[in-house]
Amino acid sequence: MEDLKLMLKQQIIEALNLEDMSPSDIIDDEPLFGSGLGLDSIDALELIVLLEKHYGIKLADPKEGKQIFRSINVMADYVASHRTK
Amino acid sequence: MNIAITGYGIVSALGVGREATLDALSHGRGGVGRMRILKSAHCDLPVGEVPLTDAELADIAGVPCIDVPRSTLLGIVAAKEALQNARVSDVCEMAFISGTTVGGMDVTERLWNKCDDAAVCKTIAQKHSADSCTRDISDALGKFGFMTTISTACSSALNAIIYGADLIRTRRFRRVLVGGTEALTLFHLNGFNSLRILDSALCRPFDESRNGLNLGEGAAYLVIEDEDSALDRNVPVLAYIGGYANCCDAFHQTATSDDAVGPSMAMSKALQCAGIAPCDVDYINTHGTGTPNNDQTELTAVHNVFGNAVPPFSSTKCFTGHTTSASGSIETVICLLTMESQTAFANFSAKQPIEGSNSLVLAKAYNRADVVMCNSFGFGGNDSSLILSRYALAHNDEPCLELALQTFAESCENPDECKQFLGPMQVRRMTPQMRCVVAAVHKSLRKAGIDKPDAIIAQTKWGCKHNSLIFLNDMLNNAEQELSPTPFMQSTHNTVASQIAIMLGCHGYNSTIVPDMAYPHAADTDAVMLLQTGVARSVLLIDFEEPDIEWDAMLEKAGAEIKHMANATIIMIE
Repeated sequence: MEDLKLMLKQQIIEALNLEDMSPSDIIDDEPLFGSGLGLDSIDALELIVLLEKHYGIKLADPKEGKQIFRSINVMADYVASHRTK
Repeated sequence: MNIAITGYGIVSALGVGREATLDALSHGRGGVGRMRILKSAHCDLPVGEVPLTDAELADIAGVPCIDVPRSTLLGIVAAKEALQNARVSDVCEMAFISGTTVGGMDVTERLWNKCDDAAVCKTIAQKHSADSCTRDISDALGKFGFMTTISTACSSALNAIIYGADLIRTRRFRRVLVGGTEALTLFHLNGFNSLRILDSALCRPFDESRNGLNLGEGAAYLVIEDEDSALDRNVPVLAYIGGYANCCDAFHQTATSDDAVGPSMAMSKALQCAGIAPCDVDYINTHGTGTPNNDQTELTAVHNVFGNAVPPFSSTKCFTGHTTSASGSIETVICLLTMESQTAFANFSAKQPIEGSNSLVLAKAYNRADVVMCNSFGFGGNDSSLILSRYALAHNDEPCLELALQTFAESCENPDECKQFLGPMQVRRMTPQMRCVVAAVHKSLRKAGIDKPDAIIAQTKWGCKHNSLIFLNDMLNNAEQELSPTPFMQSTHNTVASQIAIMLGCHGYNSTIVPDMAYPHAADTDAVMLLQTGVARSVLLIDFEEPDIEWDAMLEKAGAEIKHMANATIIMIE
């Protein structure tokens, strides 16, 4: 699970072009949106593409992302139980 | 001075020309349906296509169709009808202002993977840009005295009307052909799809269940002129342009703000420009795309401006689809048909209007429509509003033509310079050239001694080609699947001017111009017109062209000029 979390952080940094940030700057249980990293609605769509590309997870309704992207912990749990690749 | 409308032409999913359009509108017959002309992996998405192939359009336009962008063909068809309708035979004393964003993107999509051939590169270099679309339309009509292209995404055509009206108000031209054109392309179909804002069923503006927009295509142009010019020519005046305003939400590149600053300001300032009160408006043609975000924000704005006395309003997007850069002029023509027939065309797909939309027109309604407002909003928070009237509205707003101006120019070649002005979260999506623009803008403001300008105008030929190419390559190489929305969001020409508006919190006039090579000063002219009409006392003019390895290699093979720049100039009244 720790490997998956690290991998997710690296993929997020790359997908959202968070230059000057390293995986250790993203705290496992901190919110990614709003008060935490301060990501926006386009970032949420980028994370949906990330799930599809790297883990074969397709979200029919983008609104589902809100729950899944609450934090790295939640995201990693979701990926571990839903991944198809 | 009164600005009269003396002719118009239109082509959309409702058909070719005024008669077909009015017939479809008055019988409640929408044009959104199965995709037949465009060949896409997403053929299950409903679209508002013009029901004619490129060859059939070229035949009507009277031009050859090989490697001619579909936007150009649509534009010629609509523009010819407009000129004929206004009884104009010679355009040499007229200006031509056209709005488009995709330009020749359909041709580029077909040819991009064959770029090792110099002849192919030449075609792309000649046909891709928005200004070449305008030039090719004008070549089919005659030789205009001036022309330029406005590219502010979905509000392009309305901003072209505004530019044209200002040319008349400031007495540069007596008669102008204005409007916009946009054909469906794989590029923006996939772009909107990557933003997850396309409905897989018919769009339902202002309905509780609305779930996105349907893309459409088409073109519409209007002949507008100084009323005395219409009298001199002895042609009937169909309606008047009463007032208009272009404002900027300055909130986000694609999302609209919850408090609706941009659209509220555009509507209020348009009323102010027309010299009328909100209660004088009989009908509002909303932008009403059917996305959850747009409709809620627009409704908030309508309530901000009209309070509890909201006049009847409708969205005709369920008829035509969202015709993006052409929507401003297509819907202006629909407003003219509304005024002519005194009929509000129903927002027929809505069954359960959202709270606060009691005035939504759900079935065709006959009512007074002497003063009509037409809204057009775009990516980048480019929000514009136009007031049309059947009778001349008396207002005295003589522009001040004699002005003493001062300019403060700066440029930047090192993207890292921007880091002294912005933090990492603000710059993370910016291309190196965009970063140079940020630095140049800050330096020019410092030189001029002001915090922010009243208006922002950007000029560019190729626009944001770096992001455009990232998205295009992804789309072509991944069979239109798993596309990242960020490059598309930043592919429109107006990305630069809107990013700067967001950075500076500048809600004033915001436009992006693609000048024609014969008239390179179109953006400077726009700036001076804003100062003359009192819309602004200071204007920021951005001149940018970004490097891109692939694009520049294509231009080199085509033997075309390659330029890179990031310049910012403040123009102020002394």
